[in-house]
Amino acid sequence: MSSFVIPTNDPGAPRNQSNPEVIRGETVDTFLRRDRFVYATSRRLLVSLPNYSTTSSGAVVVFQGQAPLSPIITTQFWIVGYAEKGTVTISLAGWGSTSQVYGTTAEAKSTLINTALFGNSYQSYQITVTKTGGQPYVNLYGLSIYEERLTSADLP
Amino acid sequence: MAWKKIDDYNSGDTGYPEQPYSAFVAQGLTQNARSYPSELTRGASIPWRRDAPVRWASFGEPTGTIVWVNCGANAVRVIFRLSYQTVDNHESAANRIGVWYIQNVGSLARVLVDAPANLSHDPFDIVFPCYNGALSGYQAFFIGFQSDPLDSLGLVNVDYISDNVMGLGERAGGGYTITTGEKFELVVMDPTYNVIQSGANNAPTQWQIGYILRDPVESKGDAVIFPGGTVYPVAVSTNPQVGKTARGEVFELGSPKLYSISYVVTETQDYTPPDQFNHYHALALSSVNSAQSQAVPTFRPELANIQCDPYHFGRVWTVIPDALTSTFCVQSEVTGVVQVAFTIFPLEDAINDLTDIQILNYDILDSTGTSVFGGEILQNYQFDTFNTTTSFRSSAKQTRALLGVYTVANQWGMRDGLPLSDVQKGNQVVFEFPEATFSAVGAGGDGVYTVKVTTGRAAWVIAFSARLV
Repeated sequence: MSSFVIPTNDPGAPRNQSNPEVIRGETVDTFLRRDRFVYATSRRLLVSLPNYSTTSSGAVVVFQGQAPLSPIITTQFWIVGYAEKGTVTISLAGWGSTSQVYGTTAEAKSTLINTALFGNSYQSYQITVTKTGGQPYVNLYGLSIYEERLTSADLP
Repeated sequence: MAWKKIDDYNSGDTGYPEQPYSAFVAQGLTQNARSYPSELTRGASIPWRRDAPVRWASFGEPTGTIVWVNCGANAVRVIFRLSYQTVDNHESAANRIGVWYIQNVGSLARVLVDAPANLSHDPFDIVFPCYNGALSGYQAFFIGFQSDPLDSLGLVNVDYISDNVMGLGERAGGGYTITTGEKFELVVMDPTYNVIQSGANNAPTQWQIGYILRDPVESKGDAVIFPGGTVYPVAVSTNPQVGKTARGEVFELGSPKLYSISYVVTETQDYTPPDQFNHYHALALSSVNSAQSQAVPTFRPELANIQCDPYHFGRVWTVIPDALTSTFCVQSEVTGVVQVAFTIFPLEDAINDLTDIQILNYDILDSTGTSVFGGEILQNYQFDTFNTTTSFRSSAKQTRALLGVYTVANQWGMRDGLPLSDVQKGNQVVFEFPEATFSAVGAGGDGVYTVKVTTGRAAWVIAFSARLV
């Protein structure tokens, strides 16, 4: 039996089950690891923004809503974006805030946020898109927030 | 409920008395697998711009938009949470501002729920039970609103009705002041005041106003009305020279500002109990195997779900380099197929059946902006051009916004709203990319992907979603 870890990738379906009256140890082991994998990696998209370009100097746009969290405790979130010439500030009630600053050419950003929100509830969020100094506009090609996959520490 | 170690289910590590280890393992695994539908449900939130929320009013029929929901395998209900706010606490005699209207575009099943005034922006949940049968895969839902007339705002003179325009004039003592701007109002014609219908049409006597342009000199204005007079030819007077003027009463319409739509999908439980106390567990284990295999793709989170925005989705989508884009990541390295779904309304006139094609170019870019597939994938579609209830062509006096296309800030009434009768004119597109391997998200932008769709012909897109299958 493997140690209690969550596989990085899907272990795949168990094999060697041809004899219905025999349950192989490796089969059970695969079942167990796959069970953890499915549970740990099936985490929610919280919100994604449309592509957006500010049209004037100093432009700011705000998106707000309520994101439904998974039934289990969520401790980390990924904020991923692809943009140029601007700053994206994300804040959630009870979470705090962070920002991603993009350069003059389009680039990808990813930020892992630690938090201590409880699952199975809605979480208010507010996302502010601003331009950085010196540039007339920000081009946001997309920005999304996801719950991070669980770790073995999150499971019993 | 939560994921458990298999020995959590029983009193001790050995399971039930006399229970063989294989049965103990099978039972625990099956318990976990059976919790997937309730534990691993999908959900997301779709926001509009806070500074430009959609504000819907619709008297004649529900008006709204479409959202795409990944219902996975056999969803039994979808819970929508609407975050809306009303500008005042006025309600009709039915103690509401109107009715929220949710319809599954495919099955036409729908639910109607009274909408209360909501000054404090309280969340409002609507449960959509899949009573016509469980829903699977991508499903498009129409989410709309139909207004109740609320408080009277006063009386006005109605000088004429022509096409989409109603000529209004302030009436002495009428109490209604004509101002330029978006309106969420209703004019109810007084049948005793010179209303003359042309022909045999049963013209409506109630007209929704979406926008008014006030005359710079006189106390008059042109109101953009819905439905348009082109549908119901109406004249207030057969001879304007006579100078007859009709009278109408203006009412406030229920008109919520919508900030976001959130949803959670609940799937059916597997109620097939495992044969937990049988020594031969091939059936129970194969059920676990099946449940796990099904869960791997089914419970992956959606990659993106984007709704109308006045500046891209939900408005005219023009030719290259204009593009629809969205960003996504995956939580573990996966080889799979990205599927995108959206609702598109081609806006350019058809030339003929053979050349009236919409060419869409699909691509997925990695974190460096390089195509995952080595270049765009072209796809031709034979869409019908979107013909709205009234004419589409833009002019200074048309109900373009009422019909769902919001063009210029502060010029037209309803943003990103579409009458229910026009919803079915949309083309529901589901496109699958070739199979590809996507890296897990990491620091420094690793594993950040961008879906990009471009077109050669102007179109209108009101919803966009992506998932892994």
